Amino acid sequence: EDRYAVDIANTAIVEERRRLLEEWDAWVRMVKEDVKAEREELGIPDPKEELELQRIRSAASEEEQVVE
Amino acid sequence: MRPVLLSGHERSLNQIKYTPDGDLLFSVAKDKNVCAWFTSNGERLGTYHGHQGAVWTVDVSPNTRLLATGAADNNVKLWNIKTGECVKTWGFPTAVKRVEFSEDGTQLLAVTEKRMGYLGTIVVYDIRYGEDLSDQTDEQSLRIECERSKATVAAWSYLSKYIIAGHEDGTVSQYDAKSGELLLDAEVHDDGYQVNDLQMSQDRTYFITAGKDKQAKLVTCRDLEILKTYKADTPLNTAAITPKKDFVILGGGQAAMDVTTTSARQGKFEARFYHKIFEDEIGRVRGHFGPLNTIAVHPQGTAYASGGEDGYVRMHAFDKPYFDFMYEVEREQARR
Repeated sequence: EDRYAVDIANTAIVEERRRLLEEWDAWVRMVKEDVKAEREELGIPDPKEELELQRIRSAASEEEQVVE
Repeated sequence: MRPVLLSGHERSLNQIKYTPDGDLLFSVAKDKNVCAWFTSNGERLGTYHGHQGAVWTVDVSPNTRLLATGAADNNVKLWNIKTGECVKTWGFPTAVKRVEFSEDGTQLLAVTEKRMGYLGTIVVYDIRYGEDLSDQTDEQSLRIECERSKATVAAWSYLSKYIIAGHEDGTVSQYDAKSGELLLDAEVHDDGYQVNDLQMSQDRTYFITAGKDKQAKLVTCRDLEILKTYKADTPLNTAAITPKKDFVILGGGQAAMDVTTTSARQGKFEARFYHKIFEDEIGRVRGHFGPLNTIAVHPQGTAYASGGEDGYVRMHAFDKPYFDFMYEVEREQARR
């Protein structure tokens, strides 16, 4: 019977964690979409994408120098 | 997780920051020095001399060209990272406790201390990145006066839409970053317990605060809603969010002068890891000989560093067990 009680408790904890995880993912997804829409509306570029672009460009310019 | 010890400061650490690519780590301390370190081997790249008092705060511009510092000598300084020269100094009537660049680096905020006859303020400068980095404005583009309770920390939200500030009385407030208007105020920490740190998530949509009330909170930028609470058994000086894994790292500790009985924990001041979503404590990393004042996480989520009251910075690279650690429900989700 004790074991049964422990199982019930564990199941409850796992259920709760599952709920928390889903709730978090849903919130992150919603905010991400909202910010993306707002960013596009304001015409503000994504700093992460900008950084990536910078990296690609500097890599490309280095390559060009090698060709020369 | 074998740490790399950075010993170069003579007094307690106040803040540490990684560059956006994580190659360098900057540290500031009460000894007036600003240090730059290579994260790959822990060697010191250089020291930036110029402040005449404890340096409270440091930040790196997103393009890694400028470093901003704020100090007890009432100055904010901008440094050319490459050459190490100070390119600009802004003076204030009181000490500067926090500086931070906006997400695109075009603005810098500074939090100034309150003192007899002076209210605590948050000021903003526009930053230029021309050929000549010393070409900076003397005009503040914004000035917010904190009338109710002084700000101790502040940061920029996503899209540089809001300035979020933590206060001496435990509240967190949201200001319009264009007009400076106070939009929202929330009682995030226990009344009268100072907010000691505030760090944004990578996308700046939410942030973590560390409080003197022994708690850290995860809060949304948009409506200052408290999402999560992490409870510790010691006052917290610092809190950071880890990318890649859903963890947060908290640091603090009772200062020696506040401890009434002989502490059996000497040399055992710990960084505490909590699960960001489930709020459980999952591990501790020992090492410092005094309270942890500042924690920073590598932008790629591969390492973290802590700065202590003991004058040391400890850099830790995360190892395989760290990345493998998963709750059953996370494993379940990953399989789907």
